[in-house]
Amino acid sequence: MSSDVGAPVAGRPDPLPSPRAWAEEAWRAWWVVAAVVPLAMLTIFFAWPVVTLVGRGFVVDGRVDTGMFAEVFDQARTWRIVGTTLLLAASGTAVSVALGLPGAYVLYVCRFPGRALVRALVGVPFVLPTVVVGVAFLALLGPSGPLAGLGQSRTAIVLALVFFNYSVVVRTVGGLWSRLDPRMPQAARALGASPWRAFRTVTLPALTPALASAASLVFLFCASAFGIVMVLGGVRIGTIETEIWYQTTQLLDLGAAAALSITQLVVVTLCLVVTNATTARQERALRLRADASGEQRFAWRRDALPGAVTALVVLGLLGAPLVTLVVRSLRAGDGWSLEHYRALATTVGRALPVPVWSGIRNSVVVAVEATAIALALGVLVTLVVSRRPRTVLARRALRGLDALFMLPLGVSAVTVGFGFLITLNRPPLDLRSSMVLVPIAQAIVALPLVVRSMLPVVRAIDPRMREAAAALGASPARVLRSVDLPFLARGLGIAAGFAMAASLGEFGATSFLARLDRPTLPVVIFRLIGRPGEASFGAALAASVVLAGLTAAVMLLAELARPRAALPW
Amino acid sequence: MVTGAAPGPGLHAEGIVVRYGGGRHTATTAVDDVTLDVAPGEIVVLLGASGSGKSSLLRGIAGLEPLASGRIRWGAEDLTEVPVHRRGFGVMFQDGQLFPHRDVGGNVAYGLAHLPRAERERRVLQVLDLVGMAGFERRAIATLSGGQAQRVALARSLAPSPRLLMLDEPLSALDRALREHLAGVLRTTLRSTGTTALYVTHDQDEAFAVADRVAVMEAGRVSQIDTPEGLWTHPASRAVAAFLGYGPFLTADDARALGWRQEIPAGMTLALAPGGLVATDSRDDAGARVRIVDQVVHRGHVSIGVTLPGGVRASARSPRRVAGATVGVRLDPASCVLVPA
Repeated sequence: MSSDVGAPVAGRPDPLPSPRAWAEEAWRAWWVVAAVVPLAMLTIFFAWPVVTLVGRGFVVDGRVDTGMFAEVFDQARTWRIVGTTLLLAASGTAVSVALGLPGAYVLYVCRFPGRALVRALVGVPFVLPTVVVGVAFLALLGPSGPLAGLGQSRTAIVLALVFFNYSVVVRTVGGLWSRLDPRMPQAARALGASPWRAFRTVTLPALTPALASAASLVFLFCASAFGIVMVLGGVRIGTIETEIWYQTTQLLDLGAAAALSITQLVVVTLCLVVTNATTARQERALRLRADASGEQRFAWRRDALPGAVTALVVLGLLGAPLVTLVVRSLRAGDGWSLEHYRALATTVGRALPVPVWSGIRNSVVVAVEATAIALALGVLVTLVVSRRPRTVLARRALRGLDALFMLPLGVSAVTVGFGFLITLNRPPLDLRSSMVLVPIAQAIVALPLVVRSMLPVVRAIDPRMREAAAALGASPARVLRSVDLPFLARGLGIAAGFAMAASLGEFGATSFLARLDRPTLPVVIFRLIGRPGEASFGAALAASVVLAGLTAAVMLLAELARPRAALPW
Repeated sequence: MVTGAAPGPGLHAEGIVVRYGGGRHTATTAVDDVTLDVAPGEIVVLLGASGSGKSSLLRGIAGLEPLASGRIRWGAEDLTEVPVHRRGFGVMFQDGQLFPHRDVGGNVAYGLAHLPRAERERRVLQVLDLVGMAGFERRAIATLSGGQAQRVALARSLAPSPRLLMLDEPLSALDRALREHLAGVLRTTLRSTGTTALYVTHDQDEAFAVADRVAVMEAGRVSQIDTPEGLWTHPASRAVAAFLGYGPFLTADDARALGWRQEIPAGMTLALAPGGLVATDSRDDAGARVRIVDQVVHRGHVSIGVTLPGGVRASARSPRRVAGATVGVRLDPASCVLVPA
């Protein structure tokens, strides 16, 4: 009687206490490993170098000395540099948002033929290496460029920052805007509001979370821009980031560099806090209106102003520098020529220790290695951070972990690179002479992008889908394999693309770590533009075109493997 | 293993408590000491308003929510500590939760991983046929309508022959006509496969259509459990009666004023089912004349809103609209029940 278990249970194993306990232990152990491996990597290759570098500035003869801070901030130069950084970042953000808002409307709310192509073009600058962006603007605004006179000015830097970040605003704001219920502004119009008043009082407030989130992200990118300022700022315009580079490599003043690093860290942390807060709010807002589609057909009568502004931005601001870059790379003397490209096989008149082509090969090899490392770590971090534990404490711990892996996004890559140099050059870890440091540094820098590409897809899994799988008899490991992994795989292509693009263009950390005889392409380009003469600049233009082409090809491949769900940027 | 009398076959959930929220003091109790048995082959429906704890109870029994206290047994076997995937219980959710990266057949086969391939395929075809979805094996999930998706979800849950199938508002996301149709399909399918089922819904009609027994839940407790007929004729409390659709509730005086002859014991009240108050034309009929407030036309009858002698608002059923300011009404004893006040 008591052994009767009712309906037949075909082939289902009876629960056995001891194997089950063992399986639970193994399961727990796997999660511990999945969390500990990336944490250890982050500690050794990020926290340790950064903390050591910062510590160098404060510890004098074994004692903590904060006098350096006072000394650094006593100088007018420091204040000028902090001021320049904030001014550039604020201007870059303001212009990006002002131009990005109409762009978001035209490219995401309006439907017109060729929209997908324009959207793809708008996304190109964001993944371009910063050095390439710098060279492209130099080609346009520099001494011999068509718009000479603007070169190496604050305006040029702001324009380049907008060029770089325009798509961040367009994508973030447009993604929300296209999903707003169009009946909201229609209700306002029916209540007697003019189109402008309906926009100002109904649509704009609804877009605020996306605007705030995009603005804080753009501010973060602008405040930590390195390559663009290095190329376009010359010796006259410096930001915190370039000043850290200047103090460490040119003046060898670690104390001043540490003080500046901490200042930069404060700016970045504030940005991240604001970004996180606004992103969370945006996610809440999105959930309410996920299925409402606010798209409409483009109409010149109604959309003339945003349409004209967007056309001007796309053709003038985004198109002109890239076209100039390509055109000038193909001109030598007074005619068309492939001379600059032929120069890539040489050392450009002994400007370099190796031919440019070998820099290209180095870049590709390093990028593949960095992508592999970043993906391996990124998958583990994504899986760990996307868990939903029951206890409040564990949930807080995961949120902390999530924020921790975002840090490399904001900590100056220059700080990371220089930190590597002074920590990993002696026992227990003497990696200085091996080439492995460059891909590791690049992987750490790319990790936040990788995690941000995969996490939303895995987070979007309804927890009840995992429960449904478990109720069908799937063990936790099978649930992970058969539910989480297929979703994660959808984000894998775009994550790989971002990682590889970031690695191909990485300049801040690599500029410290690449050995003289094994430079990557951005390092080669920077060295070339530092040399006088048309031959060097021409080779830099050609190398920039090659690097941009490589990056674009990588992103194109990734885009093909991309799921249709929108990414945060 | 079990002390005292050996429990019979089927589900025995004893003293189940489910709490949400972190701290000991901030936690809310969703299920408060519920004991429930389900016999093999029986369909028990948990019926309650949203927030009554019915889904939490189901999740607790399935092993998806940890129990603050209580025991879950199947027959003599104690499942309290057994993880969800080893309980042999199936769960079907409101929105199906089909795996979008597998086709229909792949979804249905998910719980059959332990079977050899040929047998697995046979079983997939068999259950798809059972729910009227034969021929859909290779279809992508995204191409299914809401009703089709729920049929596939049902087939997927039934495929491993769970000893207990739990259905959490399986039809609530569908429109009414489809819901009524699929409730019939569900009952027939569960019956024909002899599946023991625990079914959660907030819809009274759906509950009555599907259930062998209905457990009414309020504020985390089961306030009454009975067959649909027993529940309708003997609601255990005024709250249960009100939730089932009874009302208004008349005192002995109110009832007598409407011509009620039988005794209403102290502490009891007379609950009117829809149609318990009927409009009448004849003058000598036992009843009262009451003032008309409004008249609403339904398919087949008119419900006349009236104010009863005691001041209570009620609605009287009439075959047609009534002219004038008053109408004669009487009680229909077949549609009136006594419930504790």
